[in-house]
Amino acid sequence: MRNWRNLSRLLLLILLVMAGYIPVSAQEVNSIYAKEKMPSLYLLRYDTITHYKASIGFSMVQPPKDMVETAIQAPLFNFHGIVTLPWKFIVEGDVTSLIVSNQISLGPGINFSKDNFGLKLGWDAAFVFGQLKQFGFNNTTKAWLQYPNISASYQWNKMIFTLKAEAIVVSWVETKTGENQLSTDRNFFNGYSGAFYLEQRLHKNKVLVIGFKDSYVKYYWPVWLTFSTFNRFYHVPEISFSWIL
Amino acid sequence: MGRKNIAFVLIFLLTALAAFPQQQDSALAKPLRFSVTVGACVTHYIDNLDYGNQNLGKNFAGFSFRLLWEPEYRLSLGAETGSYTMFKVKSPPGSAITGDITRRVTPVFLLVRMHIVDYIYFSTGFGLAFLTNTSNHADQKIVTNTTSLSNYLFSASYIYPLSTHWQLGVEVKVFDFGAYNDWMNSMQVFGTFRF
Amino acid sequence: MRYPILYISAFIILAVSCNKVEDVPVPVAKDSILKGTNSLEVASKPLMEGIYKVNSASSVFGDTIVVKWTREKLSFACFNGIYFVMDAGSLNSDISIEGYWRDGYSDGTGLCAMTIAKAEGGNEIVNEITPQQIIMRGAFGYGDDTTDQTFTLTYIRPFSDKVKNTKFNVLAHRAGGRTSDRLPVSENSIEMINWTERLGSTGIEVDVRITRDKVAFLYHDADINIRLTKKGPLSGEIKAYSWQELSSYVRLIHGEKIPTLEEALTFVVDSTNLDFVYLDMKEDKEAMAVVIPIQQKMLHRAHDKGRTVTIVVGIPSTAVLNDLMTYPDYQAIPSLCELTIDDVRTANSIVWSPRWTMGTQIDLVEQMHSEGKTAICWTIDNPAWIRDYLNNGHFDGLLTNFPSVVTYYHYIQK
Repeated sequence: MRNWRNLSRLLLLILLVMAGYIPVSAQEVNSIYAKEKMPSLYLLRYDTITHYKASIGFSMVQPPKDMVETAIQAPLFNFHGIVTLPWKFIVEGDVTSLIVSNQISLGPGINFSKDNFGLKLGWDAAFVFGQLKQFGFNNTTKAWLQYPNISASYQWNKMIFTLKAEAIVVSWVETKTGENQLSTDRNFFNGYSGAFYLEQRLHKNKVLVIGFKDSYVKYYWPVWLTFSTFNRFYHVPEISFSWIL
Repeated sequence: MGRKNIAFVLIFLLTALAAFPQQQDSALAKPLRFSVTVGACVTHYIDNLDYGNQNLGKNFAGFSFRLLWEPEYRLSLGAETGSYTMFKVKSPPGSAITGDITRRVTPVFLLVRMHIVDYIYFSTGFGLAFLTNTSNHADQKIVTNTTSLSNYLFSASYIYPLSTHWQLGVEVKVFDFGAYNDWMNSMQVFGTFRF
Repeated sequence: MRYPILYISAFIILAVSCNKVEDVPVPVAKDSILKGTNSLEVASKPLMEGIYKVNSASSVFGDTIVVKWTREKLSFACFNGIYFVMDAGSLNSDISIEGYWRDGYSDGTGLCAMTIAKAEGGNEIVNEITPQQIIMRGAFGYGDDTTDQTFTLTYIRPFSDKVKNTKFNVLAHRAGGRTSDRLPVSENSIEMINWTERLGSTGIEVDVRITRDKVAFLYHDADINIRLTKKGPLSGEIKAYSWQELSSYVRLIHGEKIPTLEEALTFVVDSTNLDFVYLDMKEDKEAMAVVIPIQQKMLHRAHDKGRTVTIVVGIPSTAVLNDLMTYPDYQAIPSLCELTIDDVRTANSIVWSPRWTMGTQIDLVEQMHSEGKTAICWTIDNPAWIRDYLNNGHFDGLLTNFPSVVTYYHYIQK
């Protein structure tokens, strides 16, 4: 451990010295797309007209080891769409799927943007549905979740940075096993998440969104089949990649 | 603690670099390109074994291979693999059995690389890792294989262009292999051919 | 924000390191109220057992609590997964009770100290007379802090005749619970077998594997991993290694040695009151030839000691069933079958054990009862489901990671 600290200090020193001597050579980007406003899911510059943006992608999530009893990454496939309406209103929708677990969310919001800065406030309602009737399981689950959220975006040069925070409330959960049904018709605060997104052009005018999200939750819907009973909050990190269509 | 140290080093590095005079964007418009990179490295295993880590060897040589698609902007996408020896432990003197245990890893990562300023790049990757444990005891060799499903790679590299097609560079990497919570860093030199 | 990928990397590193498994240490009282007290007589202990009303702190522990002696410990079981592990002693006909409480579903824990005063039942209990009333007065706290929250229990009634006359199996999964339950001992260890009765367990399920050199031992996962063991140099499939290698290089998560099957069963027979052991066979090739002789030896040992212990070989898959069927006179081997009821008949198993996710399956359970078989479902953890299966199902036992919850809902029945 002491050697690692020494190595990291040496690395820091080398890179600091290098940074001071890197020659500056400013060159204009001559791509024809560089001068256009960059497509974005988060920095919406369409305050007064109707405009539609969508993306597809996937996330790699790391469910808590207590729930799945091993270190795995699970892929969640995702489609996200946003419609800007007049008077700064927006409607945002999302479909995320792990095949046996699925979430559809939809919600209104309000969007403010000026120059390179944007602010979005929204409230998404999500319906979770999961089913497995093979391999010794005879179970389905349904749940309603609420995601009040806020995000702030800033464009610097040809990159858009977004910070997003949301609270997560579970309004209702129903699980069926065989012929038995258990419902929890109770609002409970399930935690919150913070995310960081970076949008930039990848190729021509196609924008790649790289995101990192950390959810701090008790109930994590993609792993409902573990029937976790733990009354603890867990960090669930997630890396996401999306392409704006 | 090791992980937190890495995180704070990275954040401090970022802040320190940002303190220098702002540099204008120097991303060059360039035609569509691919690149192949081969590197040789020295690895260092960050020892977090709780048990049986007497006589632990942590430094070994390794190599990597990377294929990247480099479109016209800052980002590049690709894949990386390699072969590394993580550690070798010998049984302590006086133990009931004598021998040694070696762990090797072959990661396969999906990679995203970002051009920061002129010659500096940062990369992050995730993917699979194939761990091989070789145990030599009582004249018997046991080889076991584990597939780790949760793995990450972070790296910073300095790449100097020798010509239009050839580049030379150095890179510092940090690996996290989730199956056994193994952390390893490496320093490598590499050559890149762009086409 | 010039170098966002650096920030991303830092966040990832911090986040993936944030779920480090934490131990939940057992709180220890600084000044014990049991100093100078005498152990209670064996005949006194059952007089304290029964259903108690929670007069204060019912928002934490519920309205009622089940109080039951489990070997030398006095255990309290609550409806919500909270349990108490207490010691008791008497001095001048006052009974002092001290120990700790723990929330099985989270990490909440704390100390608890109570007294049964001489005039509130202490005198009768000490003199082995059925008391007119029992009131336990005391306090509980959080962590190692002083007990400053009032806690009072008032005796309501003894266990009902239905409960006393029904044999119901409270089976503890992996001998007591999983690593993720953050218990003070490791799963599938002798230390856990010694500890499990404090949760109300009447039997255990353990996972059995075989080493390369044909030694049967307790271990759940197929590979050596950091969920079950302290991080060491060995990795990969555990059955690839010899017993000597495992003994030398592997320690369970709390530092214990991996026990052999014979060591574990010897401990059950000699040192516990457990009366049911389910050997969950994780290997299917020639494993029966190693395990069954140990099973038979331990059944004879229990018989010689005058103990009634049921030790069943588990059949979790068709491959294991096929392995059993290669054994001579396999239908005479006590076994538990997780497959279909036809497979139960094929193996002549004495227990049918379906997965709880298939439902209460009352018709099939009754069919098994009519054939003289027992039915136990696995592995059920949610308190609401446990209550539902106990009240509406016809199972003869439940396998669970939370035996105290099953204990509560079983003993509370009228």
